[in-house]
Amino acid sequence: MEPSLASYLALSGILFTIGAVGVIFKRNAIGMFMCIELMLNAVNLTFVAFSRYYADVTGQLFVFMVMSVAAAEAAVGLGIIISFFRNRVSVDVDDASILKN
Amino acid sequence: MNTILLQNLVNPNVNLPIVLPEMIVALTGVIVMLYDSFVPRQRSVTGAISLIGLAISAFFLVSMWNDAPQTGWNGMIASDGLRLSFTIVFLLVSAVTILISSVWADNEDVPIGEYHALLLFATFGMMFMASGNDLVIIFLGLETLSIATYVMAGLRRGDLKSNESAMKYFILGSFASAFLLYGMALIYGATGSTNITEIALKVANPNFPALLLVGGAMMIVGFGFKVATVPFHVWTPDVYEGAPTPVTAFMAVGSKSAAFASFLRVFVLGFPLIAGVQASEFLHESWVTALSVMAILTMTVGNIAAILQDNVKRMLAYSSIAHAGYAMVGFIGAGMAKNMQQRDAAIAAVAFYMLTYAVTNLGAFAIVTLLGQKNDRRTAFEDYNGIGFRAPALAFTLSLFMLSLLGLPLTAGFMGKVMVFRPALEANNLLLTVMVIAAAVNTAISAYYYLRLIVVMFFRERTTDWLAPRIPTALTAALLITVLGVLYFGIFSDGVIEKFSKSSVGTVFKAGTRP
Amino acid sequence: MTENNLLSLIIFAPLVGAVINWLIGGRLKNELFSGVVACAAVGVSCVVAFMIAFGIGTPHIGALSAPEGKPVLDHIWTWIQVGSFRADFGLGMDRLSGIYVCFITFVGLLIHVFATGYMHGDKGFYRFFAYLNLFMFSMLTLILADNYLLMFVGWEGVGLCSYLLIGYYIKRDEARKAAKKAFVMNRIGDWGVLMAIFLMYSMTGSISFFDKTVDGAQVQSVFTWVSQNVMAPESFAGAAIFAGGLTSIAVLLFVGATGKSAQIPLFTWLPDAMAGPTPVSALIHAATMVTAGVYLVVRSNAIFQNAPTAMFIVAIIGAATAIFAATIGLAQNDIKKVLAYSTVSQLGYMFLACGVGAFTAAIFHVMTHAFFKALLFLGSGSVIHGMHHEQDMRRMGNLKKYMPITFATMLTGWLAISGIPIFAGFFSKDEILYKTFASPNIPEPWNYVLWIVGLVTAVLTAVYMTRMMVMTFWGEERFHEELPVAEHPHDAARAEENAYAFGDASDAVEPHGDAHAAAHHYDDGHGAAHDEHDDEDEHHHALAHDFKPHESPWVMTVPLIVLAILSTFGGLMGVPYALSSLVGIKDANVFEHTLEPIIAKVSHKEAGHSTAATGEHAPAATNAAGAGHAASAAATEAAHDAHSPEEVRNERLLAGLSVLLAALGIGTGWMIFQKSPLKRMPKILAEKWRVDELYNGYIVDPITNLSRNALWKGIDIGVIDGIVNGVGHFVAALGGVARGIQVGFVRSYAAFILFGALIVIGYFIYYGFRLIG
Repeated sequence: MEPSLASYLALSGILFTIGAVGVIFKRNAIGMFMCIELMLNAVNLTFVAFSRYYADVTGQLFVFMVMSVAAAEAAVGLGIIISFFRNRVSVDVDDASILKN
Repeated sequence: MNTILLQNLVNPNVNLPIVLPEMIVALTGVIVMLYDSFVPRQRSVTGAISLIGLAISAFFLVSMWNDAPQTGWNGMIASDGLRLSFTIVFLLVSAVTILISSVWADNEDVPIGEYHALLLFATFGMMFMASGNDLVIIFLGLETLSIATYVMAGLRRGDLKSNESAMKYFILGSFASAFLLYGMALIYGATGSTNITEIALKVANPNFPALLLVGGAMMIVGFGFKVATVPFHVWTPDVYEGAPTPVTAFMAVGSKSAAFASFLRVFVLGFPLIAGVQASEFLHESWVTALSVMAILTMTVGNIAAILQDNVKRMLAYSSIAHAGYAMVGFIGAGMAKNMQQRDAAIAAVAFYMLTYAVTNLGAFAIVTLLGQKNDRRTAFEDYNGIGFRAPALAFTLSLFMLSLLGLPLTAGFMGKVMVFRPALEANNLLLTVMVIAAAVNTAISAYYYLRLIVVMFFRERTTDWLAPRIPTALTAALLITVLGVLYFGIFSDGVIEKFSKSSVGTVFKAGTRP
Repeated sequence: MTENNLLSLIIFAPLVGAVINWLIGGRLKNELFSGVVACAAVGVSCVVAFMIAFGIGTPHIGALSAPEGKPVLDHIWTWIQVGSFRADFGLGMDRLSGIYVCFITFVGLLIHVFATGYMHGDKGFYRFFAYLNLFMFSMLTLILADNYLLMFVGWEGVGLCSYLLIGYYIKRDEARKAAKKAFVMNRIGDWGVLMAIFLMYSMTGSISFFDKTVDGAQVQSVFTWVSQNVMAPESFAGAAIFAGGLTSIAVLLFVGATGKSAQIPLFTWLPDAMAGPTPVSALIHAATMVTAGVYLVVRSNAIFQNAPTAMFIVAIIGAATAIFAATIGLAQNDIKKVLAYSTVSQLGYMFLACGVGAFTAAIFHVMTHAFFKALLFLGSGSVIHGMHHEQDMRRMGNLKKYMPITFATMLTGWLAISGIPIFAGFFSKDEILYKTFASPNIPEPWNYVLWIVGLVTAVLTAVYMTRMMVMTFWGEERFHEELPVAEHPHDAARAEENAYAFGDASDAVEPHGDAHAAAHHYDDGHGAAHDEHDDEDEHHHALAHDFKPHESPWVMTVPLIVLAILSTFGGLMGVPYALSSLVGIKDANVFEHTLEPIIAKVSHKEAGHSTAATGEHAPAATNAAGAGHAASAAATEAAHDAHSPEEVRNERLLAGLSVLLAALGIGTGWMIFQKSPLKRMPKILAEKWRVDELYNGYIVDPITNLSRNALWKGIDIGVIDGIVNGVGHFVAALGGVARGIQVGFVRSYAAFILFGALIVIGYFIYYGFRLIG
């Protein structure tokens, strides 16, 4: 039996939550970034599920866009993280706390 | 459905000229990038190219001004009052930012060509955020803007603060984008479309009403982050403080206006109130109420936190949070408008508010950049002690900007406030009236810290040596534009408002009283 | 409708003067140039103002005599026009603003001339006059504006200029703190005005003062709207204040007036504002700006008359301020402080007059007060100048010998403020007292209470003014008097504390250092040896042993003489019927008749007490200010008929009584202070009833603490970290993932955003459930 729309939505919701919670609890910048990627992919799942449900390509088109954006984001993000690592010899985001109050 | 699709394939509604301004900016960006890679050590050529590109783009934009509202690219792009008025603000912001950056580029070893290219791409993203009539376009525009600004915030590669700023902005920004995207997915799921005009039609009869609401909430998170409303403002002070000052100026003014443009498009035009339809009524009521509460919190938190700051940049960051709150007053006024004219007037008011905020804040940041010296070392309040009579031109100009931020009559800031508060008052709704009162109280509170800077400059003794800096030509130009803007928009705002008050593409409007 | 483009010349002449002084004067540094430019600018305003007001050389009839109080208008440009909201940059001179403009420009001109002498030798001479001209520009904009919003522009502008001028001696801490305090208190008031304008617009759809036609569009004034739509005054009840109607508007406007005109509870800034140069005190803090609150109330009289609750509040606050400030004035030793409290007290009188419905009397008092208070301030300036910047009256005495002209002119000011007949203050003050006594719209016993308060204040006024005169001009010379030291550094330190609390928050972090510095500063000023001469500073320097005070130069004495003449005879413009009929003149009250058309006609006797339910008074409440008036001749006749013999007798009796009391006050003052001019006054009075301390202790400090401790630490450290810690603990306890909770900020922010997102989503889901179920 083919899974229903609701189960896809539930799965994507769970993945999204895991990603969101992961962002809060990961200390490693790269780990956090991966959690964000997980959130984006959870969203992609939703898009695809609805796209399939409506038999409409818009959702899938959206997914392509999201994937390319995520790739660009990864490139920039890793650049920022590397620059951070060069200055601090650490990728622990908790070290980034000179700006506060 | 299929026939329409087929027809579109054969004879697509492309309407290329409609995105001409965007294309020119993107093309200029590419040219700048290429030029920079072949002639890397240039100082001012890319800046000049960028300014020319922006000017040409503005020219085409203005030439479209009198066209009737239209759509292109199969309804994905809308060219209406909202798009035109916001886009002109973006172009202005971008141009002035380039002028301000020249100081920074001279003082420090900044990859200036890269910076200009990034700035243009960011502007391109912002323009699509205003013209996008489809969630896809808005998302793409927002990401183009965000990714460019992440890099710009961290452009001072060796500086810990700049690094940290970029890192925080990147992580939190993409975190919030994920929420926005999820919201978009749910809206798509609920209505079966990503086109805002179609969403507005579908709101009357959504396939999954509950998802519509959740999707709306998620999008509030995403856009709320970009415009920096409480509780999604937490990133603002840190990122603004750490980023190089011209970039901060750009983010505080440009990103914020762009986010407002999409925010308005999606919520005011996409989620209208359709009387008698429960889903629409609930959606409308919940977003208006939620945003009203957020607006009040935003103004209050921004202002109260700003009082306690000892760093001018950070103070301006909190002040920008507060200003997001004021602009939201007009936004909600647009949401509660009783007819199309009122709605479009309110949208124009928000655009005008962002314009006034842009000229004022850019001017203030220009001076902060100049006085900050290398690496923004001198941005504490103490560093402004007693400069009033040593550099009177700078000090008086900065005072003018502070008074405009405060909203003193005859300055742009005052007109902006009047414009955004009016629609909220006209709605005759208790919550909105309370919001306006809160805004007025907050304006009074904000006097405290804006005037503090003036007091510090004129009424404090200087303990250390200080030489008035030479004002470079480009910065003089930026200051001239902003000062004239502040005065012009404060005194003769009528013409501008009239130009901004054009109708929007959104046609779904069935006024009704709320239950 | 009359148009006259000359009107804009009145406001723009001083602006041009300010710009010239700023741009050119700053380079030339020539006192003659700066002085002439500044005085000429105000002189032009003054001449044009009189021309238009009296119709001299203009194609139309003068604004003061135009039928039905029709204004002379000048539309400069359309400032804002969006939908139904319209605000023009337009000026209008009707009878009210005409009177104001005439005395402001005239007194302003005299003070400018005086200042050229007083500020002689000051480094910032050009800057001073640029500010002063800028102030005139703002003040005239305030008065001549034809709508509330433009008036608010002027309102903010005068606040700003006052701020700049109070803090003119920027090297003096006291001056800077006073400037800040003035600004903060004025902001509170400004908030009231702004809210009132909002409310007014949402209620009446207009913010204009006058009915007019601009660009073919008909503009209805607020007051016309009120006269056409408000059939009966609102009920006399506390609830009306919050009902959002006319009473709310009136109360909010009055909040603004209390700020600008230094009434309880926002009065403490005015005495501190004396830290500015003396001509500034005379111009801004006595004659013009501080009476803007009265102008606002009188201008809005159509609103106030329909809001009996607000009227009552105005009367009570006014009377309370009058007596309160008068008691403080008794115990001050600084000559300018005495005059400052006296100003607060006299402003209280004006509001009392407004509150009891005697709007014309209020304006009359504004005018006479401008004459005699400007005179007294300039006189004190002359004294301070002659005494080489000594302001403490305990170090004066017998100055009549050295400064005969100053003495003679101040004598008239003294008699005028004390309420001796013929002198200007008598007629206006007496009229206020009588109108209070006979007020139709104050509930029964209260009008007597207010009247008695007014009488007592009159006595106190006579006493403290006599004290001031005696200490300054009579008695023995005390130029080298050793002052009791103990209280002084203490005073300074306390003043400092007060000031910083109103000042910026960062100052509060190091109060000790600051207070210390101030005490030190004080020593500097009054210490014996002090050789460094700093001419930007108005500080007193120890006087040489053979010191002799000198009379001031003619540029200072001539304005004094002119003002003395005005203080003596200026009151004759408004002699009430009851008194003028004594000498056989039937109708001498020119002043009241001039203002009659601008006072809205609302029948308030019934409305005041009986509620709107009776309805019988409804038809009466139709005529209002800018609207179509009944022929003013008829109104004048009606006024004549009102002089019933019984009322006339009452008024004469009361006038006699107040003369008697004034004489009593002067006599008492003379008796006490002639004998012992240095008599110690009650401590609580010298300490100004400790109001500053009260404000700091109960309002300012708690707010500062709250924002510093609760909000700041609470939100940022408590909430964000708390959430993260809490969630962390929870997960740690559940999953056994025991890791040291090292909270980094990025993650805290993410948590905060997530938390906020959950709330927003939760709220929407609540609606989602309602939708489904």
